Amino acid sequence: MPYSAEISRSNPTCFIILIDQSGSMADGFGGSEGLRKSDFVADVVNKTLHDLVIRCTKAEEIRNYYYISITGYGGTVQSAFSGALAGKTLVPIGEVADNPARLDTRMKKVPDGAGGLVEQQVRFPTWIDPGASGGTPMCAALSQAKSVLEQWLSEHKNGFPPTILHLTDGQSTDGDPTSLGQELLSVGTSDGPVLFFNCHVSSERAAKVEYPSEASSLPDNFAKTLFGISSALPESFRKAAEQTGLRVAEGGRGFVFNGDPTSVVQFFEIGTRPANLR
Amino acid sequence: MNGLPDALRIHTFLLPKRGSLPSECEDAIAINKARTVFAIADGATEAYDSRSWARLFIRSWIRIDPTAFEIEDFEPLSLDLGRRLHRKWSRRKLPWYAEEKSQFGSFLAFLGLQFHLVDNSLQWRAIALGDCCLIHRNGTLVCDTFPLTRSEEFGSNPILLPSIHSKLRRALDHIRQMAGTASSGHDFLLLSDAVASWFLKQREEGSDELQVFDKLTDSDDTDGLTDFFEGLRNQDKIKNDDIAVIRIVIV
Repeated sequence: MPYSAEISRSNPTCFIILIDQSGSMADGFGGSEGLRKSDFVADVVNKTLHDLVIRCTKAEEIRNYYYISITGYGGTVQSAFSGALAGKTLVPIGEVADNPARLDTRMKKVPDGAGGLVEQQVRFPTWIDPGASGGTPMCAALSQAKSVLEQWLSEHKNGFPPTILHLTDGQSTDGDPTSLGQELLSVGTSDGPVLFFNCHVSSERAAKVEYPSEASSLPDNFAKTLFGISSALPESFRKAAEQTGLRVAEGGRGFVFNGDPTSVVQFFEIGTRPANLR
Repeated sequence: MNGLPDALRIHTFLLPKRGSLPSECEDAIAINKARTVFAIADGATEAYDSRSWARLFIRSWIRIDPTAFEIEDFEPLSLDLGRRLHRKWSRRKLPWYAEEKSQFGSFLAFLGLQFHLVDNSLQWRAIALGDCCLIHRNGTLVCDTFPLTRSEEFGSNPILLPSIHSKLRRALDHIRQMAGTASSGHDFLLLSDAVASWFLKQREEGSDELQVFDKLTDSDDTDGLTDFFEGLRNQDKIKNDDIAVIRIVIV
């Protein structure tokens, strides 16, 4: 059965995160003046990395179940890590854990185990900062992902396949990403093809489409392009989506169009689901 | 049946999951032969420092006299040990991620068993929380399985014993107890979840592999058992998880 490989220190998997940091990411979600997309997305990616670190924490040590690559693309295409990890392409989760660029403290309400909530102090590490400049060189970003993948797959032929999480707010400005996207979808490990999930967020007020199973309901060709390069959600991911309150049809793809802030949070929760840790 | 401890032949086996070291095994075994008390625990893999919690808890449980079978004894013991564990963590300078994860505590599945003689009749009593399993057999006949009875019952999220005070009360509602009598020739298996699930499935299917398992445990053939379970793991017949076995044969 595909996507059932154990994830262990000797058989890790990797997440490749591609973040659109073009100029339009400085705009608000859905045309609003408030929350900037770039700020919110950076926050969600930092929270996602935090959760992955906590998942890999056993006692005082971190187990390197995951390797992380984060590319920001806009005015430049480069590693989005800040601080000590700046410029690094692929980083084991233990190194991520030990090297946040900053470590802030926030209060968070957590279940108290008796049906209520209690305020708890939590650390909020920051690994990436928001960015918003230039165009949308999506093909260059996918080429960067391809290069990371080639190296990874040559060394990890039997592990849980890598997952690419791509977030963008606009059309590619350096060409049609279809053929590069198809190339990424065509490779994998003995446990299944690479998982490529795409999330589009909009600066305009428009109906969102989440995890569709067919292209006919999509509003335009750009949406159809992204749908065409998105993997179907494996069963365990589909269940994860349902746990977040979404209904995903069988064959539903890892694709969101015109997503709002909630969609972005759910996209990263669902996309980082591989948890068959050993 | 005088000299009860001498009437029990005890075999144990502990194997970490494939890819882990023995020092990383989160299953634990504890035996107090003088008091004929036995326990196994399975620390939750995804929780913080589960190995410490599993070992601390059962090593203490087998020593307590009288043995904590009732909730009113079990609860203060769990509270005290949980606090002790959290104090141990808080005394250390932990990295941010360990400090944060430790706040969510540790969890374990637990199974305890004690034998005693009443009017020369051998009686047993068991307590369980979670999916560690007791099998009581008379030869090849299975008399009791506790608290789970069928292989398909494994795999859901069992209620586990938390180290955190605020989560304890709710967990204790799920404690199960069982008691019975036994005679010479009977045997008892205390099994952690993966091996218990495998055992029950073999029994449901009438597999011969149980005889191999019995023979290897009888002879305390640790290398043979390791090869046997590695073979099962390679064939995907058993989940790659830690394995804890205590086998007690009434002689």
